[in-house]
Amino acid sequence: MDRQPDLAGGDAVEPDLAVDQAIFTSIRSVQGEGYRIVGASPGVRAAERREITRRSPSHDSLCEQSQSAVGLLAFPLETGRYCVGYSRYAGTEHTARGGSRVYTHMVVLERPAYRCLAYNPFRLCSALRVAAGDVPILEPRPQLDSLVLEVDADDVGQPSDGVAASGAAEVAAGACRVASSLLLGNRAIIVARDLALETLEWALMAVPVSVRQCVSVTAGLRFSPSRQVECTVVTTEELATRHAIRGHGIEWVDPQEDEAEEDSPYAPWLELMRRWFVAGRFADIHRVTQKLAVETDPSSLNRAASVCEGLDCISDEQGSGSGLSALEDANLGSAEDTAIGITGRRSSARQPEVDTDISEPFVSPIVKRAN
Amino acid sequence: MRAMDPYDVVETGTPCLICETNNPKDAVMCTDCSAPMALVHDSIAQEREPQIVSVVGESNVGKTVYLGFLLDMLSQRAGEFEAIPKGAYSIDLQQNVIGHMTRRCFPPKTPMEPNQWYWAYYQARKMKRKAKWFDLVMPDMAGEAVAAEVDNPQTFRIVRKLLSKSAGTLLLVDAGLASHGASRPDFFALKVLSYIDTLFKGKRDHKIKNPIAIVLCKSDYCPEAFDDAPRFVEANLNRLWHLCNSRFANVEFFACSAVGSLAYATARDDEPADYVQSIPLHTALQGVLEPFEWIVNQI
Repeated sequence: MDRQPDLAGGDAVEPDLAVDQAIFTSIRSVQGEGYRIVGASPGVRAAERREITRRSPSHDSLCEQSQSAVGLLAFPLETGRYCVGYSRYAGTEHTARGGSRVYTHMVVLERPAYRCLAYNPFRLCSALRVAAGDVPILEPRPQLDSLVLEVDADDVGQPSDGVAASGAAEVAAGACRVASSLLLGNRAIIVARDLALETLEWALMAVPVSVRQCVSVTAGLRFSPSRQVECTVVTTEELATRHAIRGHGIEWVDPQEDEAEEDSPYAPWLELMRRWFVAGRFADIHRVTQKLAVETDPSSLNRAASVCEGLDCISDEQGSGSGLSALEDANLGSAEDTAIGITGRRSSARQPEVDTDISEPFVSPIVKRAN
Repeated sequence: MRAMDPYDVVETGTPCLICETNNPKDAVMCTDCSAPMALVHDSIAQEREPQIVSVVGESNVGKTVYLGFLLDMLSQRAGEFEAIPKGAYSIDLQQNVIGHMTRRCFPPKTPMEPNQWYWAYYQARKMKRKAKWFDLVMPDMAGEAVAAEVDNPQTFRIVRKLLSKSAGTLLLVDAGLASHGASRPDFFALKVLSYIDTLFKGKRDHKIKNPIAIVLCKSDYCPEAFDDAPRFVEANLNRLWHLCNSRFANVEFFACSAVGSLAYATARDDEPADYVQSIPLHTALQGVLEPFEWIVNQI
């Protein structure tokens, strides 16, 4: 899928999203037994069922053995829709042959619906858990109803679960490593230990939405080539997996052991994201990544980071909080103009009006006018 | 399937033994089907074309237990076979099965993910007649993966590749369920054979010659299967019986059992789940080697 830039401004968030659903788990029923799609809404197509079956987690797929372990899987389907799965244990499997039953509730949705959630699978899973409840459906009808997910527009840019302030720095560091892999288009397995889901969520928030809409990721699930994901965030280091991926072009990353990626081409952008994550500035992160209508090459993102750093310096001096918010509140430009000022580029329909010389540090003309 | 030429490996990377995808020379696992690349390297070392024998069956029919015990018997020269495992990975399956059964529990489910499957590469021959050595590759596939591929072809291409390249197939059927009137084993076996039929694209008036051994597992529930396995199939798996007669020229029926006696445990009172766990109290192997011996004689 091409990384075409998403529209500046994004779509208005619909309060209710109608989505398809499927349940992948192991139960014994009249139709058969073992891991399979045990129920699905009629909108799930045959090709999608095939792909979901091939990529879904089966026995012993969760990284952790505790009953509270969870996992997430998100990928674009070959049909053009998106699939997000939330995995957890659901008691002992009916054959009781070692290990617990892995239960995955899948949501299948169209691109416009996913865009309303800023392509954040964690937001989608939160809404799924509210709509479907936390009790696994172990006696489903073969044909399920479609789901209606309630979405709160105010929550779209916020992380779904809170991270303790003491852990923010660690999560941010891991998230930036994951974000770097996503931006570079590398396939990677990242060891995030206890914070796998939080690390992946922050990493997805740290990349522009045009990148987020194309990637396939898992968190909390063991690595498997059949899942065909670009980024796998695991909680434990498994030497067997590390050995098995030789020759696959997959990078093994352990943020606790490896040195910081100072030589990443996205270092300034990642540093900005890391600083904003630790400061809890999720709204600014959402604003910048959602409304940036540019290519995701290092020079564009790093220039944007440079401007945001400059804005923060100004707001620090003026004591006015977030520089982006201050600019918007002062009506010095719409969000799109702010983005244009940051990047020096307009969307394809309009011509650039700003100096795009990148030989010197870039300062937004809006900032110049403000000064 | 031709024997590997070492020159191919050096110049063009390593083609996978199963799906023939070219892989980097240092790959441990095929980048497409997740089959171990050690199979290729071992086959090159043997300078012999390996034969794939696929063991297929529904989930929970007993493929892992059957194959684990079979390999262990071969390692102990049962049936006058001399069998040598090629690579330590070939021993993992039998060690897993024997280890669990020793502790009176069945081995865990085989995950659907192909990279989690056990593979065995054995070099074997009949000692008595000083026959030639032959190489066997026997994967332990997940029943759910087989079922998914049969229901929706191309879901798990590795299953398709394995079955199409198999020199012989062992189709395991749950005789215990069938003897109690359940139709599911019959329908599953029917689907698998229909799938194999389409794989080999046999013409209407030509039967498929690939050897297929129908193995009636868990026959300790129905000892009459040992007395006359074909008659048992005709009586209890009638659809399977008729399809075998119509479309397959080289089919044989066997009964087998691995467990001598079973106990049953229910869920604990504090558990919300409701399940019954089978506990193998001791093993009593019957009819494990005969299907394999027949397949080898047909290859």
